[in-house]
Amino acid sequence: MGNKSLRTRLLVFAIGLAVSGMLAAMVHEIARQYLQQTLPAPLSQWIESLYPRLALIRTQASPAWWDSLLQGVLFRIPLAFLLGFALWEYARPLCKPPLDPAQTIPLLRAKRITQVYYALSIWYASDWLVQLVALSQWTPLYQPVFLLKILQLPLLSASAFSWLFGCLILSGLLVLVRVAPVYNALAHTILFVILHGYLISFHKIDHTYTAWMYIGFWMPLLIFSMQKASRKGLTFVPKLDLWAMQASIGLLYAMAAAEKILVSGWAWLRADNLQGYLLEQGTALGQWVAQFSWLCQILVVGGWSFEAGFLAAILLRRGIGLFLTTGVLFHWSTALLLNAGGWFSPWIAAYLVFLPWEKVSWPRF
Amino acid sequence: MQVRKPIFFAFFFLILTPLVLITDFYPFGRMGMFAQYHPEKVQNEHLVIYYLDQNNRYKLLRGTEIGLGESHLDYITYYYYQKQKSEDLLKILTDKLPKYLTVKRLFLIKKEKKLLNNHSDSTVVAQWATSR
Repeated sequence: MGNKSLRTRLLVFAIGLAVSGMLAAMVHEIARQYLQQTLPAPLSQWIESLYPRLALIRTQASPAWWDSLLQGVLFRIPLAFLLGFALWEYARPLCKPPLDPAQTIPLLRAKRITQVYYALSIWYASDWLVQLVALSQWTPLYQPVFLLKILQLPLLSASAFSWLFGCLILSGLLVLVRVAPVYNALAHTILFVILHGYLISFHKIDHTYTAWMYIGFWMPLLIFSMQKASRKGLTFVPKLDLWAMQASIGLLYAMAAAEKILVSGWAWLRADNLQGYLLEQGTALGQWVAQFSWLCQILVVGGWSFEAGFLAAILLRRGIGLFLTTGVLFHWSTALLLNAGGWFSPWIAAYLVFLPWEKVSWPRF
Repeated sequence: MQVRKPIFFAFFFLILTPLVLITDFYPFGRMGMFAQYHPEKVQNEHLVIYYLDQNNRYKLLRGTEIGLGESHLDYITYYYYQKQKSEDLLKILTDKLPKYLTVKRLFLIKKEKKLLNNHSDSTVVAQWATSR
């Protein structure tokens, strides 16, 4: 039975890898023809509707830049398949009932994680209303991000933003006091995503809250599992929801590491790369650090290794504590040297899903 | 648990989509920040907006003065500059300037700093007269 299962999985892996390779070759060819302007007009127009900047870049960018983009296209699809397959292989046992203790987490940990998450979520969103009200006057500069665009959401008035903001805060508070927690968690996630979407719909790309939102997607499911466990008198919940939150953080770091190599090649790991960023965008401390090539070399290789290794640590269940500590230092370094993020970055706060909260002494209200 | 399988698949498929399609699909982000190889340049440039007030003094226009965050105005300025529509931006800003700013004319200026000798150059990219 075990051998049969292994054979099936190996077959799925081989077919998946072959299909993703063929798909990559096809996309590569389409991209090449687009660049050489030999692609049929309707297909070219479809590509430009997906990537409005491509038409401009096609005439302005160098052939070398296009070459690197085409090489990247070849690797992206198989890489996405490999990452997805690895995640599924590790998650598969977690989906199968009955659960053994290794596939569960203590109910108390799940409860505390949700409490800390919603308390912090309210705190992070607390200054959004002022920004949203100010932005509500700038209709000519409004360029909705993908989700707002497909939902055809216009820029809202200040009073509409006030109402939605009130609902966002209220839904978070209601989760904390356990009033219809699943529905309120769902409402909080949706409102968080939409209101944050408005904040970045003014030509400003911002990934500050990406990891935070990803773990927010799984929170209603975790709370649902908690309610179910409580009803049955169990002291544990299935691990899958929490594992999906952890894996999504690891995947984001892995994607960031992959992007750097796919866009720039291994040259990205050279000291002069970090020195360039520090001299152009860095803080006073960053510009001082840029003088030392050896230090920049250590920082750039160390930072990339952290991003590339985080997902592996989650999958192999090895050295997670080391990666979390390095992660805090990594985000503080980008804040101190490059003025990106801050001391209380949501990326650091997202590590709350890795901590054994049941072992922490907890205030009683 | 069975219901979570399709959710799991859809969630991770969507997270990986920006990696494959090389663009953001908010709320799913392509993690391309700082991904460009960016060796030390001979010079760097940045864009700023100045205004000429009623007393013929040039003042820097800050995002916070017009209800935009500091970095918001920077991003918007670069976006319009890259699209070669800087004048359009100045026109939009003119219409929304608060009354207490007595602005006669707006200027978008490109400042270039040569890193080798620390010498700076400024070029007016676009300008727009207000009706005030």
